[in-house]
Formats: sequence, structure tokens, C-alpha cells
Amino acid sequence: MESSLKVLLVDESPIRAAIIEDGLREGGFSHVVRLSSTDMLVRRINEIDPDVVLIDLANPQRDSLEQMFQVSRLVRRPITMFVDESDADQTRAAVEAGVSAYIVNGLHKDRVKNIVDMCVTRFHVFARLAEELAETKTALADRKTIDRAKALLMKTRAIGEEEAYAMMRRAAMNQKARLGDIARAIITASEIC
Amino acid sequence: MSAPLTIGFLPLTDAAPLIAAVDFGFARAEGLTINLHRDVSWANLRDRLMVGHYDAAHMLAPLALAASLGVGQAKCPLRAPFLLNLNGNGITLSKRLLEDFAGADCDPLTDWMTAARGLAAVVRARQATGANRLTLATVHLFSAHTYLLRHFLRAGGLDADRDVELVVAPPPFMVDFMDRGLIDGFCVGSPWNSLAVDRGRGVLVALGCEVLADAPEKVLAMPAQGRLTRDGEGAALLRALGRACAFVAEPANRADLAQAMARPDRLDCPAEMIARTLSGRLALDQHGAIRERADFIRFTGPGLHRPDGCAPWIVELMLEAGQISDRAGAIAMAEQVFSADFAVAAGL
Repeated sequence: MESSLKVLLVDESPIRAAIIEDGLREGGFSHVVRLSSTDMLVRRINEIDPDVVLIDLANPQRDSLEQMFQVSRLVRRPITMFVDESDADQTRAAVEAGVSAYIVNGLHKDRVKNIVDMCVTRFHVFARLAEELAETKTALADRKTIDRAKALLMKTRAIGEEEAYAMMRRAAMNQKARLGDIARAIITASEIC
Repeated sequence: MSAPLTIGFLPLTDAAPLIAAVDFGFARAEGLTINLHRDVSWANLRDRLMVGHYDAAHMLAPLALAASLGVGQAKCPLRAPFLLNLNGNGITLSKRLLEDFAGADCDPLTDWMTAARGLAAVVRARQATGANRLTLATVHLFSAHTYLLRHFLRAGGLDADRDVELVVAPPPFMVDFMDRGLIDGFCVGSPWNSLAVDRGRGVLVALGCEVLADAPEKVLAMPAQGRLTRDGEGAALLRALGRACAFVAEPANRADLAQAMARPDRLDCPAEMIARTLSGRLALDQHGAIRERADFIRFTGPGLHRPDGCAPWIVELMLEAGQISDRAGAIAMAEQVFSADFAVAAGL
């Protein structure tokens, strides 16, 4: 089902914005405008005249948006935050996911609910991807550090590779620390001594 | 020790009592552990209070009432049992705009009234030539900044709704927006006026305390039905903040405090600049003009932290700005939001 609603998406992360725009299109919302600039949003939004605004909570311009929605002479149609008593759970889910939704007054809530639900899901998907990427980066960095520390131990203690690795693992287990942290400690100690 | 409290704040000089309570042991002395979270908008602070991410937050006093009334946005019943400070704001005009003052034969640094009249003259001259309206920014619709700027404009003979365009911009972005010609002036809290002055982008033409004396500025806000309004921790937190405010107001602590506040996860700006705003001795421009006021920003005074006194003031200013129309309803709500019961219980 094609929807005529115009959705404005304000997101500083181009990757996340693309993921959400994709979801909106799949859901039949083909009229999506994306803004990611740090310019004054107010002027752009007047031109775009959206029915629904989705904004990333990390964007410092939410107060500017709300002021514009409040000062009615600047906009044709008043827009308010997507909240009422019956939507408390959905509002919580949105804030936890890091997104806020504003809709034109009088717009049927059920139609917007789908948009917000989809957006919340996709924000979570993006957060998981970002987390996995960060983990991969840490793992890569750790691997290099561990190799350096192992080489240091082999040289200073005149031991084999397997023994050096076992020593670091034992230290990590005894101190309930990560192997990468133990390796960093070994390198730091060698730089001081 | 109870479970840690999470408190949200925005990077401003008047977050000082919250930072001091954590960094200088006043919270610990009351058996409290506080995690401070820097946020990016007042809307976020309000929403995170509503969904329980924050137990309490740094908040514009008028916004605590507007959110409780549900004016404009979602209704979020708050309590503001502690007034953190009075004053601390200023009005800065861009260098570019001030060039036009010369044509109006006006030195905007004489005093704030002269600056207000000079601005009015510039606006009238622009109207005569059909030039665009000037754009002035404040930090939030429901803020002392908005009322301050409206008073400043009216003192010069201007109508804030007709003669200029009022917009809202995030405090840390003000200087950048001015730089890019998007705004011609702003009313913002400390230390952001000083940043514009230090970078040579603007001139500080009015201190908030000159335009509106003893204006209630920030409160500590909490959800009406939250952890802190239910048990004894609320009173302990207020006592800790009372002591933190006394620490903040003591000049001997200024250097250490400014260092703690300058950290990247706090205000993330030069310690010297923060110390200057705490001292009330402000540079107005880059050429050595200085104005000094002991009441530039006030964290202590008899009964200062009791919030009930600011209720009528805020209601009147909101009515005056056309933000609300039901006086009786607003007063009834303000009496709940700014109730002094907690402050009295905490011995403040």
C-alpha cells in the first residue's frame, strides 16, 4: 500500500538514515526526505513541510524543532510529539532506541505507529551493527598487542611461543582481566623498565 | 550506599553545583553515588526523565512548568524542588550587526539600554530599506533567555513578535551559527557569550542581571512520580546540592572547580573562560571592555534554593509572551511543580 505521507528523517549517521529510509520504502512510504546537515533545521523544514518528522536524539536541534512547531505562525500545521497516554510503551521504546517522532496534529495515530515501530526496530539493528563493528576493531587491535607482548616475553624469558601465550592466559585468568589488557600491561612495563 | 542516581545536564556554567556535588564529595557525604550524563538538548532531558533514564536533571525553570502543563509537547509531570541559581545569561550581538550601530551613532557598550535603543534604530533603518528581518536566537522557547530577550527588545521599543525573527539554537552552536551569518545575535547562558567574545565574533551588550534582576534560572527537576520524590534520597540530594552551591560561590574554590568543569565529558571548554563567568567579571569585547557584577550569576543567598518564590514570576512571563492563557490553571500547577515542601524537609 502506497502512502502519501511525507516523512522527514533527520539523522547525522548516513548509514543509519539509509537503513531507515529503506525500511520506510519497504513499508510503502515512498515520500521520504533526508536531512543530515547541521544547518538551522527550521528554515529547511518550512520548505519541506512534512507530515511526520523522525529525529535522532543525538541531534542537538530538537529544541529548535519543538520551538518551530510551537510558534504556529511559522508553520501551516501544528506538529506535536508522538505521545499520548496509550502510547507510553511505544514512547519509551523510541527514547530507548534513540529516536523521537513528531506528527502533524490530527493525523491518524495508527498510520504513524507503523512508522515509529519500524524506526525503533531499525535503530536497534543499527546499534547492534555498530557494536559488532566496535568489537571487531577491538579484537583486531588486541590481536596485534598480544602478538607484540608474546614476542617480548619470548625474548626476555627465552621461552617458546606456546609457553609465552600460556603465561599471559594464566595471568589474565588469575586477575580476571582480558588477555588484551594483560598484553598492554606487559608492553607498558617493558617500556618503563 | 544506595544504588547510583543518574542525573542529566547540559554543558553550562550553572551545571556547576551538580559537578561540584560529584567531584568535591558533597554527594558522597550524604551517602549518594551520582552518575552525571551530559546530554544535547532540553527535550532529551525532559524525555529521559519521563521514561526513567534519569532520576533527576538540570532544567530551565520555565520548562519544568511548561512540561508539567503539557504546553506544546507531551505532558510530562515534573517536580522542581531546588532552584540551582539566579541569572548567568547575556545578550551578544554579531560584529557584523554592530557595524550598523556606527551609522546609528551609538556606542552599544555604554550600557544595556543604549544597546537596546541602538538595536531598535538599526531595525527601523532596515525596515525603511526593506531589508530582511534580523534573526535572534535563544536557547529554548520556555526559558528565562526568551523572556530576557523580549524585555531587551521592548526596552528599545521593538516588538519581539513582529520586528525580528526569534529562533532557537543549541548553546554550543550559537557562535558557529553567528559566524555563518544564520543569526545576528543571541541570548544564551554562560559560558557561551564569552566564547563569542573570545573568538572575536560578537560583543556582549547586556548581562541578564541588568535586564531582569534576580531571574530564576535552572532548577533540579525530577519526575513527579519517581524514585527521588518517594523516599529520603530526595532530601539527601538537596542537602548535598545546598553545600555544593556554597562551594561554587566561594571564590577560593573557583580555579579547582573550573578545572573540573572544563573536562571533555563536562563543558569541554577552557577552564579560564568558565572561571571568568563564575567570577562575574566579564569581557564584553576583544579590546578590553569589561563589566563586573557580583550578581551576574548567583548560587547562594537567603532562601535562594526554595523554588516556590519563582512560581508567580514564571507564570506572568509565560502569559506575557503569549505562551499560555489560563492563569489560574498555570498557578495551580506551578504551586505543585515548585512546591517548597522538599526544600523545607531538607532544611534549606
